[in-house]
Amino acid sequence: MLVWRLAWRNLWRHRGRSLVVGGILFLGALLLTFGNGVVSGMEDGLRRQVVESFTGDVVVASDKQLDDNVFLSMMGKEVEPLYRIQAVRGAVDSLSWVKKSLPIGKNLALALHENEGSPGYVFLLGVDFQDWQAFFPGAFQVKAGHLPKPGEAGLLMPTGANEQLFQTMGQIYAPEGPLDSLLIPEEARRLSLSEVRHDLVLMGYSNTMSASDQRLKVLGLGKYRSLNTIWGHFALCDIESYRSVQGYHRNDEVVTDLSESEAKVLESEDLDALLADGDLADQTVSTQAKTENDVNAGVDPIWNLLLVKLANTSPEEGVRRLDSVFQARKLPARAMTWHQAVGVIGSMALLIRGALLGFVGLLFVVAAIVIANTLAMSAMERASEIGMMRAVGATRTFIARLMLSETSVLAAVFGGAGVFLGVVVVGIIPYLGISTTNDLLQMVYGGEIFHPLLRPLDILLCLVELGGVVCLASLYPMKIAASITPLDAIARD
Amino acid sequence: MNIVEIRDLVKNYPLGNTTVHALRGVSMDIAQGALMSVVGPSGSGKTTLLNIVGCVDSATSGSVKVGGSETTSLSDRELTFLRLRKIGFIFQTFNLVPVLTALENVEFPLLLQGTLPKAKVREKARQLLEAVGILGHEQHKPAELSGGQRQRVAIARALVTDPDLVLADEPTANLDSETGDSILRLMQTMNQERGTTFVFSTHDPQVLRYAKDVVRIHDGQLAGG
Repeated sequence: MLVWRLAWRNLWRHRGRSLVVGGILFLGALLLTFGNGVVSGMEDGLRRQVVESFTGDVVVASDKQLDDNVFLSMMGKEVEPLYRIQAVRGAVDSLSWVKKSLPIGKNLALALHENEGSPGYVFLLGVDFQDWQAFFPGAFQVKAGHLPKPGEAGLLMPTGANEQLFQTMGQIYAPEGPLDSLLIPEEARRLSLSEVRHDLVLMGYSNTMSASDQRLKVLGLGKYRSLNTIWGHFALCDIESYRSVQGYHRNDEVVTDLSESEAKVLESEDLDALLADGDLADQTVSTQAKTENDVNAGVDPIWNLLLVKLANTSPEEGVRRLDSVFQARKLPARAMTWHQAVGVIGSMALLIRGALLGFVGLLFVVAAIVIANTLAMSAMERASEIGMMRAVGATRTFIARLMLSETSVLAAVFGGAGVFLGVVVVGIIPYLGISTTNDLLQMVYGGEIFHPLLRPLDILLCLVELGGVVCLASLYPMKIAASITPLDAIARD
Repeated sequence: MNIVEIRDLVKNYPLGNTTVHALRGVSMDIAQGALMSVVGPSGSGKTTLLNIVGCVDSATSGSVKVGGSETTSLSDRELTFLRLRKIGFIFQTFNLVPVLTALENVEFPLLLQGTLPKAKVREKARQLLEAVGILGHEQHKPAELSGGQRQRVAIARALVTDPDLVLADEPTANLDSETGDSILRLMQTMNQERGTTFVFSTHDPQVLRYAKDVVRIHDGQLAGG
């Protein structure tokens, strides 16, 4: 009580200095709270944009899959087939902390030009459309055409992929029917190009060259709900077409399909002869590598990835537990977090988060140094008073507590006001509708609309961080003040 | 019975490349209930002597016992508690906590001790303020008091813990002669009525008439009494 009374009155007595230190604490706390709000909003937004729209919390891939970055690998490096999917999915779905799972195929496909032009490429997601929509509700918004009906084969083309294909192939793809000109690539509009193709020939593109080419009808053209520039490279197609394109066939299908002559062809080393003539779109090309895959495939349908949404478990913890399950059951699978699975996007998110936290941290270190310096100067100015208190029996601890109390009062009043204003600002900003179409900014904004977010835990974190700064800023002045002796006071007098 | 026993006390200060010999083997005793004046010119070592007896400075060598405790072997914390419980201080100028009222300044050492209930602390502080004659000013801050009033508050604060020994380093140095006389008379009264041991330093020969014992110090050595 005595310490607090002294602290309060000292602060009032040195009002100018208190205002300076308080002002620094106020600004620091305001920026800290706002920064934490941006970081939390970003995390929440990323979760909505990536986890809830594209990857799930955890991605399960084949244990032969060396690279974690299964979605955005450089040059579209092949994602290994995930075998024994039924056993893997059964094991995953049986876990109480798993909300649901969704198998998908994912690999690069070449888009073949049918008029001897350059080919393009598109990342292809092979899905069961109905299951995919149930797993990622509203993630893809069809602007032209329609969502595939059950059992319907074809493509859902995002505007990003369309733009990319136009850049490389000079062709526009869209579903049959009326088309909003805004959905056509900008350059095509500028050049007044009007020829639109309604189907696309795709051929799997992999290291093993086990792919086939397949003509796919464009059923719908649209956009991903968010990060369309990034996810827009991923066209969705029905899983059977995907498997045909990638050359994924089960053993039972191979046994049924391969005739004696085809088996001979497979044994041939002159693969060029297979491409010598005829229409590419009408051919199905198979190789020895395909047969090797098929041997491993068993009778399960082949997918590449199993996307998993978790309930009340962090992705990191989910990965750890899933890997244990896979090991225990000897399943040929391994798990990775969504951060790992989206490679550069996840790294960028971590980088932005780190930069923001680093900025806030740096800000507070600077604030702590300025406050520490101001308080240390103040302690030295008050050497007579402190020395006299020591002479009449105040311990070093009492003096240190006095200094800490003074800083704590300032932090409580000014820092508290800063945190409060930060909470208010973070609460108001989403209503201002500050928007961006830039994908990087969308990550920072937590979506198209800038949406910083503060949960009670975040506010508590702000207060803890503020407390940390107060302690840090008080250490040096406390040391200085506690080291003042009665003799220093006498000498000064 | 001696409240202070000093033997062969030496205090040297480094000053640049030289050493200042502030005390050169001082030996003396201070009896309980004494009203002693340490007299000497500026730089003679009287303040150093009081500081070492008051446990705010350390000896280079020798022995100093206060209330039976050998202070030269005590830790900083033990010395602080010794000052808090057994010694009262009255300084020349920097006497009071500026942000506390006169009453709160007197309460301060008792609150540091933390042994008495709040009401008792307040009552005791009021009694002492009354004893030193400034009861009407108990809610005034030091800046609102005159020099003499501040020294009276300082005396009340020095006495509030019922110390064995009160040390006053030139308590009248910054006061006019009339106020200085009243302060010394007050100390004399307290000594007679409460039996508190007072030791004060001065270089003013006029002050000596209030002391029962006089110790003269010159160049760091006792010159006789």
